[in-house]
Amino acid sequence: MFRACPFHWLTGKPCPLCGLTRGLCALGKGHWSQAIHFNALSPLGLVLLLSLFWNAPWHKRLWTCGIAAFAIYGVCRIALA
Amino acid sequence: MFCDRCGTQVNAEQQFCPNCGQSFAGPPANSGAAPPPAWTPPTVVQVSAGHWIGAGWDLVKADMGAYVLATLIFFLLSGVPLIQGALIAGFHIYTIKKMTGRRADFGDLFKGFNYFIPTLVAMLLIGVFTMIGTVFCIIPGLVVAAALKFTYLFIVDKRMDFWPAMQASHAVVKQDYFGFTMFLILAFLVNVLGLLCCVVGLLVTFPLTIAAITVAYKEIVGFDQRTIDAL
Repeated sequence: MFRACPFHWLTGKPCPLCGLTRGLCALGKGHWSQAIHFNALSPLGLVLLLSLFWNAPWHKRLWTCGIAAFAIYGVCRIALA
Repeated sequence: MFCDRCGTQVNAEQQFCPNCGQSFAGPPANSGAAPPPAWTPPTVVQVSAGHWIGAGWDLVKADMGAYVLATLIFFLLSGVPLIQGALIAGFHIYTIKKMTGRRADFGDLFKGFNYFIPTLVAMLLIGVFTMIGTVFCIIPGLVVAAALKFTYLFIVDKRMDFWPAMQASHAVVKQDYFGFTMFLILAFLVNVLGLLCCVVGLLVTFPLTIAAITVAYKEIVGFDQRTIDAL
């Protein structure tokens, strides 16, 4: 599989966003379990991206929470791997 | 230094621009024309990504055929290494002319080569900075790319060299890192949609992105009157 993440390339560990591209592609095909296997938060990533098409004042809060969720997930994924 | 009229890079000892013939003799002592005030970054910036993208779409829609053809030329030439910066600058010039109601032709796409050295160095530096940011888990790279996306416009519009232009772009974006990064991601998503339309959608979404950035620049910074006159 194509590896674009320099963090993964340098450290050999997945960064919090690793697997998100593959996860989103899997979601596009409707393969939920596969998407969650690549990155458990891919549905959240999809929501964050789609939310940009709305002109809304709650973007900043949604994205802050989303990025925090990804960071926590990423740390746990490295720690538990 | 750069020619005031056409932007060509010239040696300090040259008295006339080799490209357009503009004289560089110092201004007469009592010409009365005050030098233009130095540019100062705005203190309040309102990011309206949706509005900019919409305005960019209106621009492209109004002249779809020409933009598609211009983008096709751009993509074909993008294969040549080291000239992408000049090409993007040329695309901005083309869009500026459209926005100010002038007749833009395909020759304008190559006017970015008048700023070849600054756009080249800017392109390489933006690439390196974005790459370094990307190492820290992508998001810093996006912020860096967002912070520097007005660089080419400052080069062609304000006649800045690469480093002041990058600083100026950053000075604008730092008023609202979050908003400008969201603008970048939204523009990226629009291009993904273009890609999904059998790739040819890119021929519309790419000029839309450039036009949206130019609209944003016009609303936040405003075009230099000398640029509008000279183009």
